[in-house]
Amino acid sequence: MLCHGPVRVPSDATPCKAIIRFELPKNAEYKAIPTDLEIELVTKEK
Amino acid sequence: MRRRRNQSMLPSLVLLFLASTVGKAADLPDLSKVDRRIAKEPAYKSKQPLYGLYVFGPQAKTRVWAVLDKSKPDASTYDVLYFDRNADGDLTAANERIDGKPENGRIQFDLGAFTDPVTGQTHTEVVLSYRPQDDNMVMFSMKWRDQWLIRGGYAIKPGPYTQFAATPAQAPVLWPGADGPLSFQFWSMSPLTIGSEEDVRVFLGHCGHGENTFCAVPDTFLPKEVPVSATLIYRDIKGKEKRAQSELRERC
Repeated sequence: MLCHGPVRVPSDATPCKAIIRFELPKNAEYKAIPTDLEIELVTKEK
Repeated sequence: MRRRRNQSMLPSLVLLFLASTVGKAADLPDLSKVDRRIAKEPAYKSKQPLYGLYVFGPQAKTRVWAVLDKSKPDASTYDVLYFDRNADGDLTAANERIDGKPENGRIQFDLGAFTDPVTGQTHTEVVLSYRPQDDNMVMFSMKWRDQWLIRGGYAIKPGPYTQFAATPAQAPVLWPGADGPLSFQFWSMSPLTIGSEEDVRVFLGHCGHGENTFCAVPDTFLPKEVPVSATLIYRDIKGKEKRAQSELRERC
């Protein structure tokens, strides 16, 4: 039931609330609305 | 002139993009406006029946009320379900009262097949499972068009799934199925660490209305060769908007 995989967070990002936009390819058999989901970016704990 | 970094623009990034989904979300039915009237209800035995509403079809026009009740006023748990099999708003038909079967701490209601009167589609193996020991959560499953196993409603964070409500007005609305445009929802999401690469998991399916109402298609629904694009939209240390692209190719 899940799709999953690694998402890269560049090191120049600031700690804040960001967005991940999930989409299917335009030629996919099934139609999906591009979905923007809020995610929090945090710094690595030392 | 030196450009001043405007920290107040950071939250606006979230608002900008969340607002931008409104235009795209116009393709989806507005489940907050679903008609919640019930034409006729039985005389419930419990002091507090619990309500949930399921909608079906590409426009979510078929409304099916599900109400948990008890076989006796002093029964220890909800063990009766009223399910509007013909979606006419009347819950008093003889075949719309279903006795639950205890199974491993759950009360299972096997509903068989359901034919959507609006679309004519028949969905099979419809089951509603009530879990009194797990925060009274309710899990719905069915074989959409007798093909794909749809389940819901899932929560964004770890915790109970759907919980029925004390009144029809407060009832969660779920939209199980794979017709109409699909959307995504996180599963058990945690903050992402800057400078790292972390596994992100999403469901594909239909959002409902209310907490813990996402209904998901199975992992086999999307062919393995079709990736889910994940674009991280963020601000860098200079306040500039940037994007980082990833693809989700795994299924589980």
